[in-house]
Amino acid sequence: MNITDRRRVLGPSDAQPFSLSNVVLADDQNMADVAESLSDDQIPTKIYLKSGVVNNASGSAYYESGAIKLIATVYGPRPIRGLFTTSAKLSVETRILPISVLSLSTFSNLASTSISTQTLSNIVASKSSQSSVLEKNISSFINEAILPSIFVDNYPKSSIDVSLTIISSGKNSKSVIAAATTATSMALVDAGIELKDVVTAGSVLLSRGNDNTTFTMDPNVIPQGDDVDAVIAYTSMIDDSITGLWVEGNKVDEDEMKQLMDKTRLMSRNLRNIVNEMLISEFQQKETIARNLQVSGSGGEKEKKNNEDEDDQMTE
Amino acid sequence: MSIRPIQFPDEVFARVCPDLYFERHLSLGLRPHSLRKFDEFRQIKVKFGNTDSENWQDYSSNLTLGTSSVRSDGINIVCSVTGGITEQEPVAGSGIYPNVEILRGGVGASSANGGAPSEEEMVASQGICDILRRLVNKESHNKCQFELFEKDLETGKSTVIPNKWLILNCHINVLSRNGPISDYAWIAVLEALKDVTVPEFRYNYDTQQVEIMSGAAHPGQKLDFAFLNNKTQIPVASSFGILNANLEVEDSENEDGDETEVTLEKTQVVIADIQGESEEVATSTTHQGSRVSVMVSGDEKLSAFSFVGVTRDMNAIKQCLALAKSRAQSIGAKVDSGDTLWSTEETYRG
Repeated sequence: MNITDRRRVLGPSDAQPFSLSNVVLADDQNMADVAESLSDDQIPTKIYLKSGVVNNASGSAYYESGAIKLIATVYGPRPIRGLFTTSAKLSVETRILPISVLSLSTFSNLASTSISTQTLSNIVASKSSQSSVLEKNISSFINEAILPSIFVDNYPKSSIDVSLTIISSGKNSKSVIAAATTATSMALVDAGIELKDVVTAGSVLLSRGNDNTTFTMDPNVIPQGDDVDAVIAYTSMIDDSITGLWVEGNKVDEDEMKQLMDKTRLMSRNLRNIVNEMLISEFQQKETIARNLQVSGSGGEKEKKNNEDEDDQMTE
Repeated sequence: MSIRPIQFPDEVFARVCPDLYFERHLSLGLRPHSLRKFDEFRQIKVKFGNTDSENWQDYSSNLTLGTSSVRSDGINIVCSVTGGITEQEPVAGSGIYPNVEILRGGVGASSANGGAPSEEEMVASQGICDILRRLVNKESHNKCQFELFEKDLETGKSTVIPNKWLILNCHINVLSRNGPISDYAWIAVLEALKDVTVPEFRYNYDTQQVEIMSGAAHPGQKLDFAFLNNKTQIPVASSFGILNANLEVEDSENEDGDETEVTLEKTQVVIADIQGESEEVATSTTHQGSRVSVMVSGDEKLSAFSFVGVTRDMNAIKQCLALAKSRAQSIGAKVDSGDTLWSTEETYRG
């Protein structure tokens, strides 16, 4: 039986969305990208972070760095109906908006190079209402990476829902995930949820072109052939322990793995410095507001006392 | 025994008794969540064009045809238009399919991830769709916009690819919501449609597929809907809440002269562009309020009107219509074009 979704405004049933397989490329268009090389302390390049951007959420954070633009929103802790749990349940959902290039550019490589099955399965991303495999994988990575940092035992019988919206992405999914991890942590802080540490993540691309391997931090290119890309999340303040690790590619030896970890750790520390600075300035702002309120509120308290006196007198 | 008044902090009071909280503000001539006047609308910032400018110079730009972003106090909407091909001829102005999604969290709860759309999302989507259909259907010229053209590079002649039509899917993503969003969603759709560039096509007889041409030789063309180009014809959506409030009125003309008496007076108050929880709750039908939404164009042609609620007095509705008309004429001054994502407010860190 053919069931049509009457709750949405759908087009004709035979409609086929445009996909990159329909696009005829002009001769002068160059699809290959070259990774920019920057010195280590320049990574991540330029970041804009702002929390509390979404009105109808407990906490939120907006992250922008180059082509990456994303919003993490936190709803909760809110009560779970039914079953009893001794600790909070964290759930993450990710949505890549159709304007985001991530899905499209990975798709375009289908014909030219062998890429991982991970990115391959993202074809549907633009756009059915079902979430794509990449979206699901991002969600589960963030869930794993963030969960160790939350004092979940302090929130029994409740759930913390994180919703990630990737408005625009670069071409490398790992860089987006690193950004999303950081943004999610920021949103959790904004929501006032008790945390052991703020998780930040670093991304790196190991490219094996022309017999020499190079490492690029915070890459904005698609891995080609034997390239390896990785995102590793750290709790860099308390013990620098790894909370999430996603390495994709093949033939990684021990030395390369160590390099991958070093690079991502460096990036996540740099990110952490920015996050710290940002948190401190936001707390200072909040403090000033609270202090101003107190000053104006103290008059009210006096009034209350007078009223109480009057009440007492009346009872006498 | 002493009776002491119970005291709540501001935000608790607003939540426990939203209508009373709202009425107290109104008595003072204030709105609880903003510094706007009762009949004043929020300022809107609109940006159309590629949200992702760095990456859009290349091949992928052929797949997202147009984008827009609308921001106002507490509201942020991103709208993107993608294309598709169908073999069914568009009838009665169909061809544009808008869908509103409000980000609201919870796995499976939001329509974005396969859940059911909320009532507000469905009403907004269908409303936008209906108006667009009427506007498209009004002029026969508009229908040509859904035809696929194949351009011969040598002769420069355009021919129509038979039995294939273009469809436009508008994805309206509400990232932040603060009050009803349908007015803003409408603006987002219009701006995104203005931005749409329809690419050039080629019919491949071997694969029987329509191909999209890219590159500098095939710039494509802007959508040419008559209503998009004529400023006075574009309907402007305005929404209002009507509240049956008991306002405190100080009666100074007392016989004694020195004591002022506070009396409650039942009045209808029209609030433009509802913002915040207490305004929204107090003007809902469960609190005996009502909502009016009007779509009127600059040349004073009414294209949609809805009233939900109860009223005995037509004056409030008349006032809404008058306000909507004057707003439609002056909307040009209120819409700011400029950067709308948050980053433009402050400088980068790092």
